Amino acid sequence: MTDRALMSRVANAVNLLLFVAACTSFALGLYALGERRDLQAIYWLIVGGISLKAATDMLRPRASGR
Amino acid sequence: MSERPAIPELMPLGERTRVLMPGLYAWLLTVELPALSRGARPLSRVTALLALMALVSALLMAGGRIRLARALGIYGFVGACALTWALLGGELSPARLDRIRAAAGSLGWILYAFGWGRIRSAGPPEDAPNAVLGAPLVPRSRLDRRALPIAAFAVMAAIGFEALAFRVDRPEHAVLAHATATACALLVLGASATIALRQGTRSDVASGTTRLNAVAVRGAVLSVLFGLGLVWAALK
Repeated sequence: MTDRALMSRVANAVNLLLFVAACTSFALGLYALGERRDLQAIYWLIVGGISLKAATDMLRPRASGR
Repeated sequence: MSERPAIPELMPLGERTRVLMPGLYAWLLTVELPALSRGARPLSRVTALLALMALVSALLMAGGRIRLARALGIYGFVGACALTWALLGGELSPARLDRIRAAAGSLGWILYAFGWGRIRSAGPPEDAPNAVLGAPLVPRSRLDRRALPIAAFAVMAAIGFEALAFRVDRPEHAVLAHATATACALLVLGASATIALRQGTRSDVASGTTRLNAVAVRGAVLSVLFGLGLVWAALK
């Protein structure tokens, strides 16, 4: 496997990992809201939002701002 | 010789059933049952009955008056239901609400909304008046085998978000939770569609290094947030 193909696979894996992390974070945020832990809920929702944005920006790297 | 008056054509039975059944189901679970509870105002029962009358009369309207039927069946019915909810006030607080009934009622409302839509009548697609005739368009590429699991995961996650929102029992927070859950579900579904469609495509996706570099800053922010989270958890 060439370096380029390997990096592409790593990037795909990171992309999927960020997407799964975003879904998990959103779920944890909503769960925390149900448990009356508002600050924790805000924390997880922010983490979820950043993870999801990173996951989608990975597919359009030129359009994304650093 | 006088002409016989044209018999008004009713909406097809299938269409009427498609709207009536979920509408009736949603009305019964989310409007009528709360309106019949002991502490409910008598006026809320009247508006609930008006909502039912609006729905049934809309479906009995002649086919030529479909606009009026829709106005009555959608705006009249939903408006009367909303008025009933407003009159119910505290009777609808999450503490008094049966969660299963509320979830089933939400499903009824979704099906009711879809029921007003129209599907293409059976027959060859080329016979449709808006069809563009010509050679069939061949897709440029096939979906990657990873696309379906990603989309399925996103759909399950979206359903999970909506279910988690029902756990919130504080009235003001419950509204926020449902709004947040819907926003999260829409964001995840949108992102999953983009990610799923890009799987297996090589032509327009930048190299792995470029893609990893593009998320370097956000990755650093996430790392800091995780670090802060760990410190926070340790201090607690």
